[in-house]
Amino acid sequence: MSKYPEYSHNKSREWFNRALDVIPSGIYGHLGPSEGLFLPLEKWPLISSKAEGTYFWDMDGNKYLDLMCAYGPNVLGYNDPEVDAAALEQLKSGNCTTAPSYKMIECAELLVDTVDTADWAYFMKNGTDSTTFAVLCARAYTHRKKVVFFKGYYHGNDPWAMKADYPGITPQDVANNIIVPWFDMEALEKAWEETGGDIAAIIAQPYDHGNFYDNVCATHEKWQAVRKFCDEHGIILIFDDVRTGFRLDLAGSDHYYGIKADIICFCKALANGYNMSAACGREFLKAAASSLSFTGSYWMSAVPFAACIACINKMKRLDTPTLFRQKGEKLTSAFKKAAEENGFSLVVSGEPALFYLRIANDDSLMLHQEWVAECVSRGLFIASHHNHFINAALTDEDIALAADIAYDAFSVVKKRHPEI
Amino acid sequence: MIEQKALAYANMYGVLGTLHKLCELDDSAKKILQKIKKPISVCFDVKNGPCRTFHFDKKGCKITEGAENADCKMSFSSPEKFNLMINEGKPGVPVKGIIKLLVFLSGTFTELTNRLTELLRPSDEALKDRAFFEESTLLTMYTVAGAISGLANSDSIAMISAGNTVDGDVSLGIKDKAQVTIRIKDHRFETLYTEAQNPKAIMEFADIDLAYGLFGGTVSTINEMCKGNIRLAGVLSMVDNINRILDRVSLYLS
Repeated sequence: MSKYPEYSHNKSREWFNRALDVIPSGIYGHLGPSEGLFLPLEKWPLISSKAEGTYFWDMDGNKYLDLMCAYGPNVLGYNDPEVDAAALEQLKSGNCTTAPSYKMIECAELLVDTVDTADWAYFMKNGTDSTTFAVLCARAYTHRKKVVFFKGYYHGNDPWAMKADYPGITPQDVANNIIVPWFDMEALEKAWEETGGDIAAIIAQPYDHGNFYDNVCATHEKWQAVRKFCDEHGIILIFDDVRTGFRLDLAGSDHYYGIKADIICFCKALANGYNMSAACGREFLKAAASSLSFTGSYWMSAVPFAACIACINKMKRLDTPTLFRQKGEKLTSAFKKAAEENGFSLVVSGEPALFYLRIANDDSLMLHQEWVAECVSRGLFIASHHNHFINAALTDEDIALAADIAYDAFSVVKKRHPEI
Repeated sequence: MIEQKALAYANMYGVLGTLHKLCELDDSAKKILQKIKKPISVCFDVKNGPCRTFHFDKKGCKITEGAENADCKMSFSSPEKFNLMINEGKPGVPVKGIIKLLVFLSGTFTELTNRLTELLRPSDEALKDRAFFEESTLLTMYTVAGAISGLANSDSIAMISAGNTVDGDVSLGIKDKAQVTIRIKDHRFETLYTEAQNPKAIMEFADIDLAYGLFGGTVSTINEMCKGNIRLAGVLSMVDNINRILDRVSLYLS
């Protein structure tokens, strides 16, 4: 008998069916089942009704301890009172206005003061906007075409960042992409030679936090070698800190790894769920950034700027990177213990603030998917093949509850697989 | 954009690659095989393309790679020429066992391929017969499965998907009806017409009607996946890449 009974999702399912009628795939992208990661589908809540702190509730009233944090934006806790108060206060004064609000300038100043490499900030809405801006900026400055990616990359959904076999993408869209293994200096040198020096930028996440495999942290030495290579060849180094930003180091993940990127891209943790992204860069790129034709209808809305200011100030006060490392280590230790006690080998990888999980008892990941489904259907929302996120509202009691549900789910899977 | 070389692989591994299942499953094909007096092995050798040998006897058809043990051989000077044989019936150049080959191709082989065409491109009227409908859908699945590997190893776009696929067996099938295995090794794909014993990933359609709709493009793969009618499990990046190749299959074989 399971300690945590399984949830039912009848109402959520009804809402999802309505979504399927009017929205392609119901919920497109990573928040929905269309990428095939909700296995089996009936175990997952799909649609939420409300959220608070580190929890959300589905349409059936089931409560979930959420370790995905909206895939990153929830950094302080859902509905953080300080951030929401700042946002609501700004809303009363104006949001999307003809002349942008002074909040934009305050926000840029705060980023320049906070982020080590930032001499300026440029604002947009999504992570993809930010990485696209960075690549345009690098090309405008260098007058070169090619961009180097590290294998397993993900830098958003604009055509240049995708692959030629993705629907709607042409080989020409990605003709200037060069993919090399992570930190392979020989491959970088070879790419430089083969392109005759036509490399505008290297774009990379701070470490390899890809899906379907154990995440691999970087080192100071490896990043220093890449930084040196870029300096020697006049290549712009772009840090895609969209996922990791402010979770490893408030001064930027490049700072965390002991280097200075030329452009750093932020989004998820910037404003605790209010919609904005930013790219910050070094002084020598400011003119190139100014030269770009790159803007959008809502990019200078004031409410997210107010939220961002409140969010960054609170993250500083709490020292969230230290907090997240401690909570991540405590949580994953508890998960590993629960696994061991049930005969499972749980591999934890990546930075503790963004830990990645994999049950290593089989190489097909099917056991892992079973366990994740049993966790989710008992109120612990985790993901099968994506890194997880810590938020500042996660308490020690929440960690204990997460470990207990994880244990319960392990025992359910163990009963199903007596061979373990 | 269709590439002629990749089309030749899709035709050889997808369309002609289904002949052995036709001979195994279809009563009409079994009757046609009874006309064979002596076993015959026919090789289709495409310059800068695939080369496979089809071994026929009264019991059925087996397919082997290359020209070894072929009694008869037909050469094609280019993938385009081979594709003309598949699409328009224009033969290549007989180079071995010429008379035997021409007699077989113009007789039994043509009857078999005509029957295959009836099943792979069925009329609406024929599909009203449930047994025919099921057989047609199963053979379509085998054709698609063969073409997945053919294209994964030859089409420039599908090869990108193959290049991102890790080693292992993917089980592809229709629940309680049929399963095939797509085996990936060093980014090369091979279709096995047997159930995977230890699959690394699974993609299984809930029933044959759903499979028919998916193959014919009348229902949405994503929608059905979201409805839970397509069972997925395991290393989903493998399934993801196969889905991208499936998109190429529909381009090549539609």
